[in-house]
Amino acid sequence: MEQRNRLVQFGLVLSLIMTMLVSSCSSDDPDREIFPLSAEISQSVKGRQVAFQALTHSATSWSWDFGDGNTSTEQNPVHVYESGGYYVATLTATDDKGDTVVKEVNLAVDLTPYILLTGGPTDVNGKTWKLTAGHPSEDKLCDADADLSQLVQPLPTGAFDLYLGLGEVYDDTYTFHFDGSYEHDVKDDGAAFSGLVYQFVTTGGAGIVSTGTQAASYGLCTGKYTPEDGATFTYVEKEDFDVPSVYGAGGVLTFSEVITLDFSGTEFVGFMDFQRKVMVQEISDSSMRIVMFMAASPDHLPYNTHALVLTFEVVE
Amino acid sequence: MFYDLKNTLIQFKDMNNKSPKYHSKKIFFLILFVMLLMNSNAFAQSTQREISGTVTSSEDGTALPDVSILIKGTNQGVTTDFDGNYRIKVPDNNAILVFSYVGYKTKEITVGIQTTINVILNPSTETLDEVTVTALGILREEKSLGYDVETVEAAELTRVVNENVLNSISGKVSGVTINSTGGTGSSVSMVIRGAVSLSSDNQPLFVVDGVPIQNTVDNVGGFGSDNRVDYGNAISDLDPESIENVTILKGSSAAALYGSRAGNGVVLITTKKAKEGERMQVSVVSNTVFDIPDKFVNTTSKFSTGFFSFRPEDVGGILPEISAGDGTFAGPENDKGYWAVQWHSPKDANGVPIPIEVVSYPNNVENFLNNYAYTATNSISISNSTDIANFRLGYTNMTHEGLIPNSDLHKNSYNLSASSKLWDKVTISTDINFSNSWADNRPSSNRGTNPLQWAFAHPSNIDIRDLRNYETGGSDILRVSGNHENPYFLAYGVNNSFDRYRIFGNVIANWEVTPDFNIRARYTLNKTDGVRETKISPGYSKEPNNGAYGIEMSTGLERNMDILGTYGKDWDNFNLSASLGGNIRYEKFRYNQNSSPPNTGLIVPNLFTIDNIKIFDPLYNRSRSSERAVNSIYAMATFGWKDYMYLDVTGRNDWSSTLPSENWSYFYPSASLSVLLNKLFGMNNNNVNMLKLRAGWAESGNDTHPYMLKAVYGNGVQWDDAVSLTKTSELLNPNLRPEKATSFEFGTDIKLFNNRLRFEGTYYMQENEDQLFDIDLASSSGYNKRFINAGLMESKGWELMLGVTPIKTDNWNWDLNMNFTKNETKIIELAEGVEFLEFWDNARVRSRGYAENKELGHDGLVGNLYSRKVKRVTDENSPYFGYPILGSGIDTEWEAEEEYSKVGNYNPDFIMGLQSSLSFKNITLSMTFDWRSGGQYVSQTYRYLSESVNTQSWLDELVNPGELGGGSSQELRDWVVANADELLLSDRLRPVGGPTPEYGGFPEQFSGVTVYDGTFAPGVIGYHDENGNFILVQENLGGEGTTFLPYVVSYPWDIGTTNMFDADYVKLREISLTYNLPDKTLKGTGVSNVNFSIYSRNIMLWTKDSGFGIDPERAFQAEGNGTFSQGVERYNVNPWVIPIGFKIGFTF
Repeated sequence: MEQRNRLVQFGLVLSLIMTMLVSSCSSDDPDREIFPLSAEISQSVKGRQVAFQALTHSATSWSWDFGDGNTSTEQNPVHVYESGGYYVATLTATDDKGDTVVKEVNLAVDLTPYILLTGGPTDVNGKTWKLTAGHPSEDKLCDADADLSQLVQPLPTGAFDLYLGLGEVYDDTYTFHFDGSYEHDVKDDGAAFSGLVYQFVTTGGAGIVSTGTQAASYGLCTGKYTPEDGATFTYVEKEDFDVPSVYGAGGVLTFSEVITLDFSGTEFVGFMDFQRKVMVQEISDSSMRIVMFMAASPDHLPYNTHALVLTFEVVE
Repeated sequence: MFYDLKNTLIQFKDMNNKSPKYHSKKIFFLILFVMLLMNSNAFAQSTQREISGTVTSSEDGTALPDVSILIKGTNQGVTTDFDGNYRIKVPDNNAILVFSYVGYKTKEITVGIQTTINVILNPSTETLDEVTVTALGILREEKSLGYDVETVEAAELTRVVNENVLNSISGKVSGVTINSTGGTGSSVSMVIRGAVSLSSDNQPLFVVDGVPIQNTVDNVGGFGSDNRVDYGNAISDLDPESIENVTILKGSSAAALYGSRAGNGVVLITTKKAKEGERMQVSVVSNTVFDIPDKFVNTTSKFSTGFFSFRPEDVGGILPEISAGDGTFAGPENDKGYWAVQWHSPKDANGVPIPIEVVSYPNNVENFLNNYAYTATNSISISNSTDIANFRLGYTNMTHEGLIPNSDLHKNSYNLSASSKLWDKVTISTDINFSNSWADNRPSSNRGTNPLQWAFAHPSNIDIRDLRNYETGGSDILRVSGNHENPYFLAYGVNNSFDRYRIFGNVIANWEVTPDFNIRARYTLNKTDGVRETKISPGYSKEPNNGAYGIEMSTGLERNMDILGTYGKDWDNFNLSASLGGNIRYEKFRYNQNSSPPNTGLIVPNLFTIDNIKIFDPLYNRSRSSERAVNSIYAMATFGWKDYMYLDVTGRNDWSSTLPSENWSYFYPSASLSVLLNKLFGMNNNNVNMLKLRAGWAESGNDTHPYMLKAVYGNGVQWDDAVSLTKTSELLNPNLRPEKATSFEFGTDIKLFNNRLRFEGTYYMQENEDQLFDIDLASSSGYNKRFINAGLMESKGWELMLGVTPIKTDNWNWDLNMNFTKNETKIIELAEGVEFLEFWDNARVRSRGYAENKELGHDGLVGNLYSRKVKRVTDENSPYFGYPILGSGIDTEWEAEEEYSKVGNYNPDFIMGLQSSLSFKNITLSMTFDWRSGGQYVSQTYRYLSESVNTQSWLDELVNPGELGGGSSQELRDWVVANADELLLSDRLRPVGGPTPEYGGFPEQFSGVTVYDGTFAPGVIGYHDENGNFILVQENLGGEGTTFLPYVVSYPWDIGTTNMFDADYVKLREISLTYNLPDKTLKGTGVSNVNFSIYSRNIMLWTKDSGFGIDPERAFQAEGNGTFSQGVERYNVNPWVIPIGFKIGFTF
């Protein structure tokens, strides 16, 4: 049967012609709309190297001023600054009619994490952060094990609001000053994002302000909290961080050479639970990702069972 | 003539035995003498004129051999030769030539002065003496039948090739409902006169050349987590090209002689045989069909994945990363020039993903599928007839490549039918069919490994072709997120193969003891051997441990031995035919299954052997076997009076092994009467060809599955070394009785004006008593189901057929046939204490059967759909009377009532078929239309896709408030109230708002940023107090206090009626244009019957609810647990196709 007879071949050819007539290239990509001249800048910073992207519509030429006296006419240049610091880079995009559009971007190049956290000695108001609702893909709820193994599916945007009904946790702000002082604002609800077990054990449940719609099933809630006046934070750039964990040998897990943040008194960042000291996974000028631990099993207190890996964004 | 000559010769030889010398000489003279006799008139009147000509058929223009031509009033005549040519001498110009041929209308022509007379014979529509195959294969004159029988001939079945012969019946007969789950190779259900059994799938019994073949619709297999494959029906093993005709015995009167299994009707299939006296013939038919996708489920590609439809002006410049893992399609709008980091973003010099433009890929599903499905069917048959034997040998090869990449289906069928006269009175015949169907991969259906499910779930902002090379070299395959399967992997990395051999056939001996008495003995066998295998490579997230493997080997056997004696005698006014017979039936079925338990996987990947299964679990390594035997004795008699009255009486007794011994014998009789009024009143003219009244009454019994009487232990879960034994949760009943069905039917067959107007009408009623089915039992009893005998079901219906031949000339012929089917099945009575039976529960809709009870408002119809309707204000004094009552807070959505109420029925009100055949000379245009009116179905696909706001249909349902948008206001509230009929009181639930300001989206802040993608469900929040007064808590009508929720949660997931659609449709089942090459152009080539056709089939012309793009015919879900659900579909989403087929046939 491998050899089809001629009649079949004839049919095949005829049919192919029909096929072409019927489907007439419908599976090709559609013609894309052309937008008027516009420009956005996207960039990433690694050490003193900055990779720029000119995201433009209808532009035919690009001109970059990196703010350190250097320029480029590439669309997507990569520039290495000679020294660290704050810079303003400017993009001028030009279309085929000669019209131009200009965009600027503020850069923090090769700054220490401490400066990224606090805004540096010149920032008198300190730098204010809050939980971002637009959870990047690294955000997760996980086990408090060495790998921080992801438990539930990646957090979608606005997850704590949409799924848990705890939208207010996105509002609270945390301000870090270069001098080590710390301000915490719990906003109108007077409550902080917290663990349900923690609340039951420490307040008998009286401290729980809201369990939203579904939060309780994840052991999460908001709990009454009054921020302390005159609070301070402790920043350690490289530390072997011991965390009590049900997954650790002897109840302790050690995360080696990590950035940690600790707080005076009852203060904390992001999530109120037994464990107040947290670990900073990544920090940039505009965002940082923090690992906050949670003791969700009343049988194993104060050992942590879970962790929240969440991203904070700068409040402008 | 030859026969006589031979006899004479034998006599002559006997006479001259003693003088062999003169032997040859005398034979010569004798032959000469006979020849002289034959031509004596010719010799005597040698001065007469000679007429010559050709006789052809008006049907296809082919030459007709062996046409008898007689000079009227004499016994002189000739026959045409193989090319239809004749020569005849006529005495004078007044001679009349009579042309007659079997199956054609006799024509008389006065010779006149012509010397060449070419004659075109028209096929005879004279059906008075047409014969039909009836029960037990007995040939009967159609006029003598007191019940309705419909026959579909070979030409009708193969004009447009279908892989499954059942699809070829669709639209052509009344009283039959045909549904299929998908395209080529999927299961096809056929239900005759409505579903009458509560426990079975109501499929009729198929009898092929006397061999019973059971066609079940539960053909779902597949191993591994959520890997469900529809392997198609057993009946698809039949080669349509080898079928001579299909006769449908609809009522139980027609089927009374087939016993238990015929409760749902019988489909008799006769295969082609060599015709006696026909010379050797080789026929070739070649079919090629391309199925070109035409319409897809209307998912939307307007929005990227995400929960919030951010715009640059909401978030400033570049949008937040678009996560493919958000399985919902409410992200930023595509094709607006927006920028965002996406799954397919390239990385910059620092290894950081670069924002790229957010654009749509609207043709993702189309790009994923093959451009067309391809089916080639090639058949060849050889038939010959000699003095010793007649035989026909056929071979058909079918090759199919599906629309889903890497899906296929193949079939090779051989059939042989042969008969031989052993000696004068004894004929031996046999039919043997052998088929091998196999596929390397049948695509999975339902949810799970179905590639189409994931192609439709693929993010609209990512080109699906980016996933084609899915091997990453790492531990997982390429996928857009952990929440997604890769459709290419599912197509290539999940392989569900099968390989089935079937051999079935018969050996028949027929002994004509005397001209009046005949005995037939028959042995039939139907044996299948099949292997189904599932191989899942690493890459399916529900089989994360190196994939999965499973194999099932099954073998089935059915053997029947029957003997039938028939006595028939004609007296002057009275004729009698009586038969007595018996049958011994034996069935045996066995299978072994070995598979990796779901989610446990294999030791090493891609090694698909039983030894490589990681965990041995007795539940997944098992074998089953079952046997059944049924013995039967039956008798039948037909009394005919003066050719106008016929009475049939039948009786049958079965002994079934599946029933307890005290109840295993059951008898059921039938009687039917046919009266031919035209003969009774002597209306024998061409205007009234038939006027028949008929009536039938019948009973039939039904047994049950084997082993339904006593409970036995089976293997259960394994606890370390110990294997638990479990008892079935179904409480069996050792005192079962057979089901009993009683049916009546009345009808008339009318043929008028030379058969140019034809009408058949039948009214039937069937009652099924003592049904065998499961009822629920409180689990505290230790069982949760009980198998009982109870209930009473009643089916009633009409079947009408109207045929017209409006045009009939030498060149033109137009035939129209319409059929109409209306059936209603009711439950009259259920078991004591059983309020209702629930057949399925899907998408918040349940199919339940309640017994008819006017007081409780139950109409008792089978197929009723129940759902919890939207909760509404019932206080007539409230200004909000009739408004939906909503939940509050984040649940400010429609809520469902506690009670279930009837919301529809999945059965059609009626089905109509129309066949038209228009021919002009050698060209024929045939069409078959199918109209189904009424009924609803539930679409799980719509529900799943709309819940993730992935359907254009749902986007279109949203109401754009236009200028009143932008926020809550009194004006908006007044507008909503002013449009209460549409927005508040209608059953159609429509949120106000949309995903962007252009769609009327309201601002909301669920993501911490203000996004203009808010919608609200119009209604009120509140409750009824104990006096039934409605107490308002908060209006949600667009005024102050209205809760705006993001577009992503706008779909009312909990309201079943939102997922319901009307099932009405009109389909063009078949259209074909055929050209028959005139035989004169082929003269001398040795080739004849050359025909070409181009055709298409199953084109959806109209659906009432066509927006979403589900074919209502596919609302038919075969479940993995041995049941099937009618009126619901779950990802039966093969695109609608336009097939283009070519057929070439010739004979030499």
